[in-house]
Amino acid sequence: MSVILPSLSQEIERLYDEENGQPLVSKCVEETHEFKTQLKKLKAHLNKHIQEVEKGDDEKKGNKRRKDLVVEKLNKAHRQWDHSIKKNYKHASQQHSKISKFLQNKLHEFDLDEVYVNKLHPESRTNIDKAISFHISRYNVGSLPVNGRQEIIDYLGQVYGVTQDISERFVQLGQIVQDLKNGDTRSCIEWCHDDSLLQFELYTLNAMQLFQNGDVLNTYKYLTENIPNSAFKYRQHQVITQVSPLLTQLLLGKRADDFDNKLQLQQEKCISLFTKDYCAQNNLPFDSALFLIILSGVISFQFFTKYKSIRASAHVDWTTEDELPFDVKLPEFLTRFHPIFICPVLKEETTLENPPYSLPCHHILSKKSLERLSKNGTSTFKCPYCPVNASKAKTKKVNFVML
Amino acid sequence: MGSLFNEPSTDFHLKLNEQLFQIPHELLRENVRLVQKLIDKETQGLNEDFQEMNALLAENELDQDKVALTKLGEIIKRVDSFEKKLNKRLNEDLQLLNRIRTRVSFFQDLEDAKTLGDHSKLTQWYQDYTNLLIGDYLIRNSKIRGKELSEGKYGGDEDDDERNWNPGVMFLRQQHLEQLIDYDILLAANRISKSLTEEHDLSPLIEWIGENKNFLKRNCSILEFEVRLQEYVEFLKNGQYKNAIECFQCFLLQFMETNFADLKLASGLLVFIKSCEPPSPPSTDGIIDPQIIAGDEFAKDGNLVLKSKADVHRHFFHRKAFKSADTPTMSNAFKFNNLTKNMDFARYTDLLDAKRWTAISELFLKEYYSMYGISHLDPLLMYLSLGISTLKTKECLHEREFSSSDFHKLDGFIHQGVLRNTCPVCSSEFAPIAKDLPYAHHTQSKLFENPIMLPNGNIYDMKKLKTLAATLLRENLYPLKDNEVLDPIDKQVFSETDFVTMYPT
Ligand SMILES: [Zn+2]
Ligand SMILES: [Zn+2]
Repeated sequence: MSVILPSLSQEIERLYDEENGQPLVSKCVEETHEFKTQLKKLKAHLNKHIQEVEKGDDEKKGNKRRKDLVVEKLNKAHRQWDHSIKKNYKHASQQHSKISKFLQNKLHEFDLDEVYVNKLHPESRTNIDKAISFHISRYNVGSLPVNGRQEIIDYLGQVYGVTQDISERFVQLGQIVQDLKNGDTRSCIEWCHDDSLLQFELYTLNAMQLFQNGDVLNTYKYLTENIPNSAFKYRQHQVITQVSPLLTQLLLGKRADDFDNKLQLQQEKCISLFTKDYCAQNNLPFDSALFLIILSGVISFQFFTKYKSIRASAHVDWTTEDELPFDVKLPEFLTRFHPIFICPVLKEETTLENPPYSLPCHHILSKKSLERLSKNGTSTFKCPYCPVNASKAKTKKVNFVML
Repeated sequence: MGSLFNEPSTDFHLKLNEQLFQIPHELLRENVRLVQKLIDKETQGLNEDFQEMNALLAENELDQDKVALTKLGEIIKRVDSFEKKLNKRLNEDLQLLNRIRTRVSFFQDLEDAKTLGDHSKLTQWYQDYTNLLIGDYLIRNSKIRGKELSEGKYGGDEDDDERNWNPGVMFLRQQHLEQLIDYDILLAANRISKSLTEEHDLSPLIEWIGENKNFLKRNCSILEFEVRLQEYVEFLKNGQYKNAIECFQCFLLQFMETNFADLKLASGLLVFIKSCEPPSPPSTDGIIDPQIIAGDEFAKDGNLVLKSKADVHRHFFHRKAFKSADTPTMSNAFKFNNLTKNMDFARYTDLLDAKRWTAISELFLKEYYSMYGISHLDPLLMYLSLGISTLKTKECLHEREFSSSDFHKLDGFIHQGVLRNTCPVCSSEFAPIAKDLPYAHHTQSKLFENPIMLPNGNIYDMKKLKTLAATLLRENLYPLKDNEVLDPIDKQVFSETDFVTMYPT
């Protein structure tokens, strides 16, 4: 649970005036406006006084008193305004100082530049630009202000410097996502495969759109006549959870309260499902390499900072020659790219030079530890994990393959 | 309250992104300071006005009262214009506070996704986070372009006082993330930096220095000195000796105590450059001052080309030198980093070198970013460096060997779909970068369920191997019998009875 977020939020709210919900400075503006109005009123009074004196139809005393009153009021208004604007300002300024302290005390902990030990070479920039090109094409192609094939390619090229060999792989993705965002499902229906889940979800989306437009009869007709053939065979669950409630609402003649929200969610569901299918079919990674690496970087950050503080207190140097000095625990979806086998004897990851070997008992060791245990193949040895005896001749080089 | 990806806590994220609050807050304070100045000035002025008015009114003369009335009219005008100025500040305040509120709610989204244990929401959040880093990188590094694209046929948002745009800003707008980055701050830095490195123009930087004198002084920055020195050097390069001397006297002399050696060198440069000028008429044809000839050993690697004052002159002033003219002018190819450092010659050429523009830009960026408490290194690069190392395994960056079969379609299916390496570190963009970074450290094996070994030594997840066999059969890609599987690597067929259960630890 976040401790900082609620208090940060609270601190920020203090920069707004409690009464009018505006920033604190607004009080100064309000006071000034009122002051101005008062001055205008008093000016009118003064003007009237002068005119009356000029006309000369007065007894002097009453006039004098009226003028004194105006002068007094003018000065009072001025004093009050002067006092309160300064007070208001002071209050605002104090709140800002408080926030400064808060940020300094609660948020300031790392110096990011210190964590960035293994700096990337300046020559890396070309490759990073390419990775960004790919990422932007993948995630932003559905948010462009243009829709035609050539226009999309040109736009990505001119604005983001994406080369055509990358952009053209995402053009259709962008076009169809844009259509879906605009509520037009035709291009996606044309693209999708028969009997796919996407097809079914698009059917639901269409029905919801019709219903949204208030066309009960058409919706009913569409729901019953256009349901994909396979729906009852493969998608009974979805029929029950998605189509049936819709039909019920239709018959009752009223939409659920959060129907707009549901429609929006259905649209997003279709976009994400389509994107998945599109990437799979075109051999494009669903998550960009850049995204996966950044995510791993964020996850590892806490380990880096922890290590850094340990290192600082132990006065050890940062040595990262070949391997990071700590184990970062990544989620499953970030570790399934390659099999990792740690030799149980040497506690080292096996490599091409030091591959894994299987013993007759089907326990596995690295080549190096095998040589060590067998004294370079000159003697038999006992498996470190079970009582079976092994000789180097009876071992077999193995190869882990991730499918 | 867990993490779904073993990702850091919301509080950790807040600390990591301190600048998202630090910058707008700094701008808010700046705004508050402007309000203070305004209030001080106007209350003072109005006090005087009121005194004058009161004095007039105290006379109790009709004429004086009339003057006082006019004075009151002026006071009202003054208050009115003050109100307008305050309103402008208020709007500024409102916008900055909106930025902060948007950011608070951005982190609230993270907190919510964590609390709900919502995978897809969390993934979406990290995608936004990645996009922010990309936006930040593009704003800092890509060229700032004129209006033509954004207002032309692509009809981008045309709101504020948009003098320039850049792909980073564009990207963030299209992703609806622009409130989450202080792009104006980054863009301003980029603009000044690019004017240095690309246009060799000091004026935007000089203006910035003027606006931030106090900060630079507090930090004992050498920026102003370096900039004025560069200005002086540029005058010299252009032969504007009078301007150079003026610049020296107005701006450089004040650094006499702190930068004496540099100033000595600078004044020496004037003499040096003068001595490089072609004497008229050219009488010393072919004769080179032996003092300034660099030894041959510097030329061996082809880097050193400047050998004499004549070369220096030709290189820096693009004029015909007085020496023999048969060496072709190839000024851009010149590199002089190998000149010995103990020679004045080298020190002068260092001063004249165009690399100084990059150095000044770097120096400026460092000061600028530190003023706002932002990392001057690109955060995107930092995360990439950490991320690549965290993902890099010993198997990465090796091409896997396949043997092909007689079945063309089968090979295509297997290489595209089954064995395709989807590792981000191994991708063509990141593999070259990953080469020089350390590997991840693992203390435990990360393999798969039900490992079985085939007679050829390949170990697979048994279920997946069987699923593959079923798919091959269904898609008519390979004729397999019951209980047969195909090894996708060497395309040999094995029977399920050949499976050997393995016990990797
Ligand atoms: Zn064993
Ligand atoms: Zn890899």
